[in-house]
Amino acid sequence: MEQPPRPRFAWTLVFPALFFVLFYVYIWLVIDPRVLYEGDASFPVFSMGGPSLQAAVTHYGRLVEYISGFLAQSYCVSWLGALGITAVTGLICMSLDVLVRAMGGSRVRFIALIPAVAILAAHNYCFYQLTLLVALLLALACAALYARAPLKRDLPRIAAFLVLSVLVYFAAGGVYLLFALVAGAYELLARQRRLPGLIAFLSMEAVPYFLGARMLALDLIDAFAYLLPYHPDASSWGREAVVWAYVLPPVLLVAVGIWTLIGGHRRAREGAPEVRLGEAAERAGKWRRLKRLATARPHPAVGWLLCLALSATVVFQTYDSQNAARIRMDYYTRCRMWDKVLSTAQNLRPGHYDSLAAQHVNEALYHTGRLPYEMFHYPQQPEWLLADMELSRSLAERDTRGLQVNGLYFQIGDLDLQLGLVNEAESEAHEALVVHGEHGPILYRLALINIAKKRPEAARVFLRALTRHLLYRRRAEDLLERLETDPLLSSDPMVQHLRGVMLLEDETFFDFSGEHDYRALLDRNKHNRMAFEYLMAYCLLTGKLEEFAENLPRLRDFDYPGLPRHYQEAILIYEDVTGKRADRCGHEISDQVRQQFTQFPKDMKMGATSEAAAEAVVLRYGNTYLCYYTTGLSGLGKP
Amino acid sequence: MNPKNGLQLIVLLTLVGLVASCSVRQAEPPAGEATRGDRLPRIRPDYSGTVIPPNIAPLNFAIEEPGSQFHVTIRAESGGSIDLRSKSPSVVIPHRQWRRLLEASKGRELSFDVYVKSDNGGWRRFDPITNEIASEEIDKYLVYRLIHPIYNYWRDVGIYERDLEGYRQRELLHGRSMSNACLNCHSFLNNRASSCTIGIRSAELGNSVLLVQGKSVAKIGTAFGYTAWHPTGRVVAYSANKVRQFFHWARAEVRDVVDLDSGLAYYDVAAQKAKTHPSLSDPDRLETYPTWTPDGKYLYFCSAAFPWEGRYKVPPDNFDQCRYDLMRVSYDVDSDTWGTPEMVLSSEKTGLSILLPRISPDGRFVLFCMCDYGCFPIYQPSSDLYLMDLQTGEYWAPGINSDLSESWHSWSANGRWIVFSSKRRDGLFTRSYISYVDTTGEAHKPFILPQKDPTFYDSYLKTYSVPEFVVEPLQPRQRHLAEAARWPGGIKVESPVKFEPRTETREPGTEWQDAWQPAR
Repeated sequence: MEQPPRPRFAWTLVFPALFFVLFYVYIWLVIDPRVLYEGDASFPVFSMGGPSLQAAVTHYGRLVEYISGFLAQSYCVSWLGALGITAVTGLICMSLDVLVRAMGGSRVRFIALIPAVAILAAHNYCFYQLTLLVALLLALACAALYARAPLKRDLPRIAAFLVLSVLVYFAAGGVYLLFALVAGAYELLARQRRLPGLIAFLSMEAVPYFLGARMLALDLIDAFAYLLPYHPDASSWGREAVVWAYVLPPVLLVAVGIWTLIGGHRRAREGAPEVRLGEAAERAGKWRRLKRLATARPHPAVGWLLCLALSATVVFQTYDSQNAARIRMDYYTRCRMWDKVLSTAQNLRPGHYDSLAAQHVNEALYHTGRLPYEMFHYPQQPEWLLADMELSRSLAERDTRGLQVNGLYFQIGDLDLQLGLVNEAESEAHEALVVHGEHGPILYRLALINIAKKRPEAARVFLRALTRHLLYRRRAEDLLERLETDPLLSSDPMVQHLRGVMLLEDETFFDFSGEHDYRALLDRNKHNRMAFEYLMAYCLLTGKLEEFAENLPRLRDFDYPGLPRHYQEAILIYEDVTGKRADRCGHEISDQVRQQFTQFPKDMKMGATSEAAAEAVVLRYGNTYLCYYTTGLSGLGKP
Repeated sequence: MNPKNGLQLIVLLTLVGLVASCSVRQAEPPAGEATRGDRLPRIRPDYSGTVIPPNIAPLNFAIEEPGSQFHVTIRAESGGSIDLRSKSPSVVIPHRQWRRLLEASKGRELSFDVYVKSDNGGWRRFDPITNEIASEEIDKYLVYRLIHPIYNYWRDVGIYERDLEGYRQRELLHGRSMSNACLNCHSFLNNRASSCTIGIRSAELGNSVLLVQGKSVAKIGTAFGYTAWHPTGRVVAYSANKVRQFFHWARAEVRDVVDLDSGLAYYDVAAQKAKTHPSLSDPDRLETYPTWTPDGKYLYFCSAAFPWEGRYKVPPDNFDQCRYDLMRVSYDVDSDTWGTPEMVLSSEKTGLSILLPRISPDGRFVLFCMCDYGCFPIYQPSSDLYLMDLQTGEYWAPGINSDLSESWHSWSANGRWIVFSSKRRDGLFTRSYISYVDTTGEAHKPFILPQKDPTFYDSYLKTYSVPEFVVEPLQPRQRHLAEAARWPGGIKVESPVKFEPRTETREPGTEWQDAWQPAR
């Protein structure tokens, strides 16, 4: 009898090891998981303690969320997060490898690495994907366990399948479909047993319906698709790549199974008679070439090298540097790394520059003291000053599902709090809590808000809940301890600041109203510099120069060394348009601004004559308020 | 299983049991060696000086006194006692012993002797905490909704049934079964779960009401607001409300709610028809919060004149001048005839908005809340509970209120217990409190719904809303309720209450959707 070739050590161990080392380094250094930590609303909530664990094991789909939530805590340290992602991907590939071999594909084991390529591509979108991967791992690992179970007869196999079905379905939701599909394919193609195979395929419909929709009273979409990449709750970013990671394993396994069946390779190896189909094909002659192909033995290195080449191609083709930059901006804002926010924004192309990016930029400019000087160095739109304005649309205009997926509520609120719009920040934080879950940053913000509002007992509830979060525990315990000695935290600088700027006179609101809010904040505290600069920025962005001029005297409440550049430009426009003189608070317009103002209309006329001239005008004026006021464009000039 | 492995398992379980029993064990009180304290011990939740039902779950609590060891003796006036000693300040009372003690001591006192061992090794004994065990039992179940404090969006909304004799909480229905629908008010007939309505709001499934009768569930294709079953079970009165939400800049409670319009209607269960009557739905007034007298001869409700013009502006002008009166109207269920509305208590007299009347099962008292203005007491820190003697017309604030909102109350079937929602702990999260109301109408110090973990409420981020006592469990299982809710058919009911604007004053930007929206 012909012995199957022993896989060479180098190909079976060194190549996968090399692959995963490269995979790890890429995830660590290029994707950088720390930027994803609590950065996206899809990032899982993980809290320690009995109730969470109990909920994880007693609720449908929660076990996978619980495990992935725990693993995702490693994201806060890049190298550790990369290790977690690599480990889960490695285990997925190992499970697939077991299944490939069980299907008779010992000579094509390299294909077990192909889903890892899809996983790499999914991470190239820089969004959290671990929950889907853990679900995938559970389904494949259980399928591998089932395939390798030392059960020969059909009845015990069916029993084992049904037990595993219940476990996989309850733990991993709709990903169960993958488990059942692979198990069915294994039974039909590898074991060539019709009954267990048929039962496995039928259970793809029966288990979610009877166990999910009927017994657990789930919605049909949840019963069949929960934790699958196309479920409405799943992030749409990188969905195609994740779908590939889900689709490839069964497709590859079925392909291997058919390949083995055609070649009769397994049967021949076990000394069993050739399958009837193969004999017929041989007789007919038309299967001969196929069989030759199926039993061909390319050098083992070919497959592995193909896999590496495929990975390299996919990685470079799918890496979305713009999205990565955009996600990094969120991260740098959370870390208050303002210079990094601004330098990253410089590389962002218009398509990726959204209201939240603009909010980050303006916040960074404010904190670095550059908002009234450089805000038009970046793309601006009237509704971009605060991302809250996106929410000012009526409820009918908002796509609630989109809101959840995009996670706008997750990102906003902090800026409102700094401004002094404490109740607005509270409402946004509560919306985030309801829509996105009990995330650490949201609970912390709510605790801070309640401390500022002199409701320490409510703050304690949030802080005690926060002590169950691995990475917020120490911070929460510290704050709880401080609340014991000083229940109002009066000595805390942040709390002092909030109490100093928060609105005291009540009015009702339905959503953010811009100018009115800023004015109220300044009426409350005329030294609220942030409110002043945002008010002026709002007036500039909306072209409300009358209101701008009206608020210029407030400059006296601050210690600006002179008139900020954009204010100078706006004053000149205002005076030119209205014929009135603005209150310059004793400051002068610089010669350079005055000269630009005089030259601008002439250069604009010149710009209309040729493309080169237009480009020169854009380069010269693209960062000025003059340009924004006239054309609505900004952020186009020389940096 | 290998017998050797089985033996190992038994040994392991025994060891685990021993370790567990060491953490809270029973021991003699250190009475002789203890120095006497001169005050009550601080415990959380506050279970002191209250009246408790003889069938309530153990009132586990945490001792908030510094110490290395803690001993509690729970003594009943009838003679029995439970001794507990632990290194943890959490006092978890054995269920069976607690039940035996309470059962044997109905109508008598129950005291907690708390001893705390200080770091230097000496025991300190505090003054005993004394409670009274009532003779009358409380209804076995409490049904409530658990939800995060919501603003515009909701998600993870469920209605639960809590066994008050223990801690078991059963999920009756969850929004996840219905495209994340919101579950609204639930209402029972005479404290029995065999007849019940549950309101559902869903962007995908529409608004509907589940009508439960025994094991059967029917879906009514219209929205019921606040609902009240006629004592015969033949009619369900409900409100139709044009609810809108808005927010406050600087108030402690950010949220506020206004009914731009509202009216009352009633659903004839047998005829499957909804009707209204001019006495119930006056176009010049806002009517809401219906409730029946136990004999079914009167429907009590709240009613206010419109202090604003138009029906669109949010919030409307003078929203803080809108105060509701308590009114009633007679009804004959056999002939389906309504009388003329009569004033029971006017807001002009009280200076406050009167809301949520609930009449005691003996028909003697009406429990309601009053707040500065408006129709939604849970968002009004000024909201307090009041009792009115329907025989004398006298009303008073029982000593169970706090500085923060009290609302959403319910009577037990025997009329001796009330449960209500309060934000007294922290001003934000609503918790359920239980209070004993004696025959004279005096409400005794309330206690919070007990939990197995005494620190449960310290970090629980959901609110308990609309607590309702019931004496029996709801019969249909969750999947039946969910299937009925998802069923595209149902009893088609035309809402008889129409919100037609008297004057068209719609302005740009003043057209709002419903106050609350699903999160997906």
